[in-house]
Amino acid sequence: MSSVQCSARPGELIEYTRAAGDVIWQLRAALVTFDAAIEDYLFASGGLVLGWVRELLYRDPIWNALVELDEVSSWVGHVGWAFAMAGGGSISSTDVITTTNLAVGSWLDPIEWKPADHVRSGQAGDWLRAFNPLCRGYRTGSGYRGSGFIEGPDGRLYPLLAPFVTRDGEEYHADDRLAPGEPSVLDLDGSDAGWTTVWETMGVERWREAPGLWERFMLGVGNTVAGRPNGSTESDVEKLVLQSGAAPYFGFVSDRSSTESTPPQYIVPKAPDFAPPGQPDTMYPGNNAPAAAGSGTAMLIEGIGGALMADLGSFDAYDVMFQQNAAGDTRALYKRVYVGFDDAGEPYADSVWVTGPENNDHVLINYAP
Amino acid sequence: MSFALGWEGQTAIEAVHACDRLAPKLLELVEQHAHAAEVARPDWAGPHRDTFEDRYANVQQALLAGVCWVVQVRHDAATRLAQLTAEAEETARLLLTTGPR
Repeated sequence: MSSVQCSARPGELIEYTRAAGDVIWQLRAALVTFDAAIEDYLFASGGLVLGWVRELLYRDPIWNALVELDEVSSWVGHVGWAFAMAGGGSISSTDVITTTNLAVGSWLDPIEWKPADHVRSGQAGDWLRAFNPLCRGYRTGSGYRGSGFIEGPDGRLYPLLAPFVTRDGEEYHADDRLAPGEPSVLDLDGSDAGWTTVWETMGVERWREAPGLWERFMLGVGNTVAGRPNGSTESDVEKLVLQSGAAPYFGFVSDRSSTESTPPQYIVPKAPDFAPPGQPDTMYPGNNAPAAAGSGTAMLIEGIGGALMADLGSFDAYDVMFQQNAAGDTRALYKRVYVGFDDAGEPYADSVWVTGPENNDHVLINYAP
Repeated sequence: MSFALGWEGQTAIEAVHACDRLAPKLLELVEQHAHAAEVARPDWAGPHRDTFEDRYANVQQALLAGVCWVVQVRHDAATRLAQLTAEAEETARLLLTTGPR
């Protein structure tokens, strides 16, 4: 999908919807009266049995035109609203808004746009040129981390970043329910203020591509080892409640069993490709134990059994904010939330800022109280 | 309304009248919709405008096709009404010729 310039007056599109609504109302009233007369005639001219049949078979084709008109009218109103949102204007405004079809499309059908599909790496130094953290209120203990970009629905590249501030010796990366007037982590406690959110989107996404057969088989081995899908399933993250400027919380009780069956003895955990956030030193006995090599049969069983569960844990909840300041600089804050389970089977949420396309381009978020 | 035409004749008359009301109404609404579209068009450019023009043309075409369909329905009802009228006149003529038994 390419980015194309487009323009409209939102208020005029809404006005069309109003005028078309009047046409629809008149047409509907006219058709009801007309159909009643025609159905009476068909019934009378066909006799008792044939009349009923003719009446039942009667289809007034003008209703199709009315339905289409109704849909066009609603759609134009929706487009008007999308233009207003994309241009940051009012829905009743008759000023011309010029933007891109992608920006409008993102408001018309935002479900199609998933942030994980749009993270880019960029050339060396691109991120620093696009968003130099040294020029943005950097001081010891506060600043931005990042390396990559995200391509917004408007087709522009926004530098991804993770802010951090240090308060009383502790590093924080995001706010949790900021009160009015309180310093915000996102603007480095006021030293890089003036950012406004031009678009924000939240939802659930698959953060990695669906694996191939072999990859799925190997994932299956890993999943059988772990006893349940690695990472967050779609249903896990759908229970999360995301709010802008707040830490996520669970809206529903997890339906996972807190007493999961113990894996068989020959299955021992192996290290995943990337250590869990904040747990780089976790030991995995499967990496050293000779038994981990296992027999081919055991691995096959694990692979087939686990393949059914493989890839279920590839989901996260996301919240992406596209921001701009008065100087026209842009940035994006891409938060992902994964669901984990503690030893008691209780769910917990891990939030990270995504700063680039690699799996370790993450900054684990410590929410400021 | 002629009671000599019977119930079918009366409904046929009503059907013809309904067609006579709907056809010009449809043309009026086609015009009204065209006027509404003119309000939306100034400074509207891009792929959404193109989509709108396609859908707008479909709606207008469907409404005009509706006018043709109504004319056809009117023709059928009017033809049947003419038959019923002829039958009623024939019956009346026979009654006048032979007289009541």
